[in-house]
Amino acid sequence: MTRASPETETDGAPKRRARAPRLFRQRSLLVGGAIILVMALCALLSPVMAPYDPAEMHPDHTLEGPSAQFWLGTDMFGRDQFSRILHGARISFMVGLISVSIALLLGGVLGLIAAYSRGWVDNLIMRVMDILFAFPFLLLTIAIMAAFGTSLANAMIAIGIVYTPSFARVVRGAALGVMELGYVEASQALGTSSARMMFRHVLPNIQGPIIVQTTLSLAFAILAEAALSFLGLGAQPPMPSWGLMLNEGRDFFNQAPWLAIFPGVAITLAVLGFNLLGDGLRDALDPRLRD
Amino acid sequence: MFVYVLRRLLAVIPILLGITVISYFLTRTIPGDLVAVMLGTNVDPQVAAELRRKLMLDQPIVVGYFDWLGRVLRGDLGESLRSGQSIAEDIANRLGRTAQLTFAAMLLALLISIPAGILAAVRRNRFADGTVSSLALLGVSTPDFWLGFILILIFSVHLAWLPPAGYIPPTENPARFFSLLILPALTLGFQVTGILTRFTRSAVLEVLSQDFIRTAKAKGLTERAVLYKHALRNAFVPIITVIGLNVGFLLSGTIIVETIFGWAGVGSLAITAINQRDYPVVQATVMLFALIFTVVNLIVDLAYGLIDPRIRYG
Amino acid sequence: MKKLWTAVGFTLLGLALTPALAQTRGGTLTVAQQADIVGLDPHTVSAYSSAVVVEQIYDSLLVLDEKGDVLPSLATRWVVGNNGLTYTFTLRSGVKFSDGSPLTSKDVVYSFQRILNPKTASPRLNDLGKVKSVTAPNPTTVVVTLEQPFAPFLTKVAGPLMAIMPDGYAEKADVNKVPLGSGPFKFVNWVSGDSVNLERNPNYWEAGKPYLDKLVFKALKDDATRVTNVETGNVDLIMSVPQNQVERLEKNASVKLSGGPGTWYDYLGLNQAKAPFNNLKVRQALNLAINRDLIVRTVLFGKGTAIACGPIPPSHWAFATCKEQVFNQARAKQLLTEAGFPNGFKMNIKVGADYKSQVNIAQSIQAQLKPLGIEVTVQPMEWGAFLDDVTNKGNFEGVILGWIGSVDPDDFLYYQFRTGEKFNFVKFSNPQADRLLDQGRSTVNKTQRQTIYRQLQTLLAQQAAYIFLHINDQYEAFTPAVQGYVHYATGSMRSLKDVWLRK
Repeated sequence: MTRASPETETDGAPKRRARAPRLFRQRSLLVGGAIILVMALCALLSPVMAPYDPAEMHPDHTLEGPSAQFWLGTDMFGRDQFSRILHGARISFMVGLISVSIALLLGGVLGLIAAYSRGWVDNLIMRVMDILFAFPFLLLTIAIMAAFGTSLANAMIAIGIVYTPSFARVVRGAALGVMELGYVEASQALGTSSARMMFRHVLPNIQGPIIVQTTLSLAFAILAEAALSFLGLGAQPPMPSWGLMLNEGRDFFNQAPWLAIFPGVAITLAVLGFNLLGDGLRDALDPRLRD
Repeated sequence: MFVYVLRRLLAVIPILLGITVISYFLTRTIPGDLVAVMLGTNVDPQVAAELRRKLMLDQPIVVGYFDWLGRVLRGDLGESLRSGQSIAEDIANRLGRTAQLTFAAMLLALLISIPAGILAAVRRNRFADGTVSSLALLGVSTPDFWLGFILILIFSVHLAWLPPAGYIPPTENPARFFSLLILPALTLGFQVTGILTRFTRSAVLEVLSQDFIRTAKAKGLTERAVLYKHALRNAFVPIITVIGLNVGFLLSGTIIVETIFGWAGVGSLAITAINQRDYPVVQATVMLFALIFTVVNLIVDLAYGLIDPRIRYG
Repeated sequence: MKKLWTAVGFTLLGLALTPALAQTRGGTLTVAQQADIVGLDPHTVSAYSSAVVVEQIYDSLLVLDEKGDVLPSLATRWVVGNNGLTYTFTLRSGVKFSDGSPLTSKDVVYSFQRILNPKTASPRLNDLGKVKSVTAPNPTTVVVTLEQPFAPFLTKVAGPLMAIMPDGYAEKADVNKVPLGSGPFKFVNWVSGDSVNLERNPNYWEAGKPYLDKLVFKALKDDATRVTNVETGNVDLIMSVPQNQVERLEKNASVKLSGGPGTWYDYLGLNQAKAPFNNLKVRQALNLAINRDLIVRTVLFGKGTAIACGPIPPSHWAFATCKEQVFNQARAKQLLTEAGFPNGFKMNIKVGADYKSQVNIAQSIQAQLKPLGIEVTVQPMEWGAFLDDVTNKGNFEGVILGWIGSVDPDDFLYYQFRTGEKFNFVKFSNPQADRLLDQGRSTVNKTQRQTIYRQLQTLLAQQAAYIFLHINDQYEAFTPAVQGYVHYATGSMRSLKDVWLRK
């Protein structure tokens, strides 16, 4: 949960020109893609796939270990943990997608404006981004949550705001690189409008870094939601959010350890999947890295 | 050189100001009736009115900001709404504990990640590289709040080797201090270890692929000599900068790790204050973490300028 | 049956062992509680975490025993005169504060007046009723005169936060940080967020006590952490044992437990200023639709007692039995139909997110009301926003809340159910109930009060003023070396002065 992994920083850090072996690279794309595909399917199909309603209580089967009837055991109300984890995938993916979309939209627009206008506008935007960047990520998310109030919607907004500077930097950096290329200057000379130029020429050429940044940010957004919910600042009961389930499960750590183990496995898998996918995509897409 | 340092210092000032603005305004909007929270359900209107006046909650927010900034510049962070204690004093008591934990975690991360990263780079494409890279990625992906729980389950509950939580100053009982430090430091440092391993690996690989290394090899230097004399020295420059970035990661992490392990530092102070809507404390801790992070990165930047001969001052 | 036998076995064992061991002086006892203190000014703090430390450092004129009866403390005698309008206290002789200065009636007058001064902003400003004067005719006598009789007066005076401090102390020192009283322990320091350290008060008036040299209160917020700490012997005693851990700890030979029904009860409050909850039949239907035993079994892990007729626990002299409101879904459905909601309705239940067990109760009720077609949304809220909505704005339909720490029936009932009173969030209003509440407050005779409060609780149950749910059991757990600890139903930790450590 650092600033969207320092490795993706464009300034200061070395560009990862030297990369993982080709075989390993393809493997990460494959494995990451497979994990995410399976989880996305779970998220989409959870109402059909889940053996029980995630809120359904079985008072005669409370705190039971994994069994044929309840694959991953039950919680204090006798709710089926497997069904809850499947439904939890929906929450994680929804939060991830919405919060990263917010960051992408805000950061993308700000980054493009900065790159295009240069001068004092660029300076102003990027200094504000620097200020947001000066706050450790999770801390800023928590502080924003404290100001907005606890809810899942606010968690998405907070995570989105916190990631905005990362996207602004990546988009601005990439756009500046593209704009220095001859053909953009040429079309500018021909009198193409700036908006049109941005959409026609600049955006298509900076897709690579944006896709990579988006994938890696999804990993961190899911982690951030889980952390907020774990701290009681995100999703609220009876929602089956993984972070919240972990928080609730902790109380039963010595009677029913599975209640805290499985949601943690789910979080780790989702984050790992997006990280692998992001790694693979970076090697495949980032033009700076192309051999 | 002097001009470079001065310019960097000047550039930090607007950021510092921005930090104070965000810290203040975010926390003044905390929802809910603060006085009701402080008094619990036991709200006597007369008592509530008196308290509201005492806390100057009727003041307009912009006036409040400049008033607050003035006091902060004089080193006065105000008092906790909850305990009535001086915040500056409280933070001074706790900062050492957070520093101990953060340093331990960073040390642990460096001790593991740098050799591991170098090993992976040197043994590129081989089994060692695959293992290290996979483990590092797993490290990056494991949530600290879950790892802490698993470590307590294994080492405190099942094996009973280490205490589950608590803090004791090292001056009082060094052995106990270290036994209490191990699990939280491991938990806090785990993700950073993953990040730094991955980074070290790519930094070393990058240097190894550069021309001067090829020249050195061509001059007939042994692989080992090339690695130690040239490659590592050059790879350390970017590694140092990334350590600076990861300090922010660790500071964020203390919020969760200190809470799980009952380590009474600034991180647990911050989350307790947020839970209790103790906004002067939230302001102070949020600002403090951002300041530390900014200063660490400033120092790293300046150090970077000193280490890397390619950067010119002027 | 098996459980009963085990309990008897333990009791016999305890009786057999106790006389054989002599109390020993010395040692440090570390107590872990759920939260750090928020200050130690007895007259302004309300937090439970602070109250249990305050009662180690300070004494009040009177004290409550573990059942809630009033006993002498700094005052050895008290006389009620003038039809309950004057209370004359005679002070114990030879009492010293922990700094060695003697206690006189001036200190008592000062402390009471500090509480009664609105500038102090004490939450207990109105706890003593309408006080006309507090005087000290001589150094060992204090006279409190009331404007009207106030039956709970003595139990209020006996509260640990009605503490006596030296005359003028609050003007000389920061009472919140440096407390000074005449209690069994004296203050050493407070490491904010971590612990409060106390040591034996050598000037304490009760001969030979306390036995401990040092007493430490540590804040361990996390339930799981607190339990692990006492199991591994890291701390000697933990407060607020989570209910789900009680049964497991009972089987652990390295931990002892003490506890039972306390004074903390939970209820479902329905906003009677809003439809459909202003309809008595709807309230009665909900009263019958909720299976309290199921909540006790799942949410409280059996560590509680279902209540239906009122909040006063069975051990209390004012306990009321009414015609049981047993769980009856068919009757509930019938009442709903009569009220015009044959297919149920939608409702929202707000609950403080910090209180896990209340959030769980809300979830259980949500599942239980589903068969009646009542669609409940559970809304856990931040405590500040929650209190604002519930206590200030009346912006809620249903709410899960609890009350804790009441001793006198008036504490349990008056402010909660009298029309327009400060804790009457549910806007219950019933002229007969108001009359009974006033009577109970101004009647000094205990037998008469017993009749009044029984009548009142029957009325509250019939009117479904609250949907009373259960009384929580509360437990403390400690290592076998801890001797002489007694659990107080009121949540008090007074018995720490009698605790000693077996070496």
